[in-house]
Amino acid sequence: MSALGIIGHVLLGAGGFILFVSGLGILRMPDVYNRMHAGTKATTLGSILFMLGIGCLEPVWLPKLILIIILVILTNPIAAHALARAVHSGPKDEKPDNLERDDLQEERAEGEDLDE
Amino acid sequence: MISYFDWILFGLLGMGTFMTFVRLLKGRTPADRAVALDGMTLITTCLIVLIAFFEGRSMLLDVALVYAVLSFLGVLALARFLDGGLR
Amino acid sequence: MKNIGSMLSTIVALMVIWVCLTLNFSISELGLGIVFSVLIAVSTRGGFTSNLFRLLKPARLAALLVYIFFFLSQMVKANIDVLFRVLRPVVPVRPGIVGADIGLRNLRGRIIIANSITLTPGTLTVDLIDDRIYVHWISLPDGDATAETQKLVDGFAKRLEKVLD
Repeated sequence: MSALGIIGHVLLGAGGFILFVSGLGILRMPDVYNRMHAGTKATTLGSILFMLGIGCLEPVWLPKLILIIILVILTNPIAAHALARAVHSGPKDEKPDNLERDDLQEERAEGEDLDE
Repeated sequence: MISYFDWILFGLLGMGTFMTFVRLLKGRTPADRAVALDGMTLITTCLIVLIAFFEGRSMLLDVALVYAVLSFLGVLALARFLDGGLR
Repeated sequence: MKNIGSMLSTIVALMVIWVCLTLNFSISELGLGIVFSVLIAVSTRGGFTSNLFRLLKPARLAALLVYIFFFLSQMVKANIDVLFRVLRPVVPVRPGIVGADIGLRNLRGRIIIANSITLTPGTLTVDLIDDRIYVHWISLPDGDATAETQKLVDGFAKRLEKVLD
């Protein structure tokens, strides 16, 4: 096996493991925001390592895989951000109630006071 | 030829997809399901790339690319919907 | 024609994506790519990209490289952090949402910082209102949480400022 093949297999193993951990995190974490942490950071790095691993084993595909990587880096945080915002402005009984402090909620409450 | 290592890879990704799917079914809130769907589509994208590698078909890479774009748009539409309807 | 630079950079970016997608260097493919790139760039008046040619100064390129390496190292740290949290028998969390100010005027810069913070250890951007950014911590830092958040945001803003001026 060539050096590139070994690097590719190591990257594939690491990426697969991180993707597995992200799945576990989404299942195990206690509330919506924490699930988002696992579902954003871990899947992003996991898929990047995975694509790079495939790219090492099949160098001809590298440009297209890099396109997928750039797409994932750009879109994944935006999706998480949109979901987090939707949760925060959503109905009260669907929000996690274990937040120790919530500056955004205070800010919104102040804004409503000013409107009246 | 599929080696042990490749079986392990398929197993890891399959377990990841399965666990996010359990979260998708259990949910509790719609946002939980949306997060699970987001994670599941990314893991499945990697699975498609892996299958493309084993089959040796570069066409499946295009499938993975389009799948990633569409999943992003889907999650964004879901978030807009949860944020107070599609205005 | 004051945004000719951003139109040109749209064309270059689209051509790079086209070549990556087709992986075919025949005249007809490249020509088709150029035709469509120019059509899109002219019809959107370069609104898709800002002027990327401003980046072509050695100081800015160096700052961009520094930013990318800083970002990648933070991302690896974030994953190790998530990994240890997930694999513990009891998931240790102490969540909270903290606000901080971004010093940047540039709108694209603010969006880049918000997305970078989402991918760094223990933090997730919840909302971005004008120049206030609201960060969700997976477990609040010990001591003054507001100051810690401000320090995190400033760390990114300082490095990105050198790229954008």
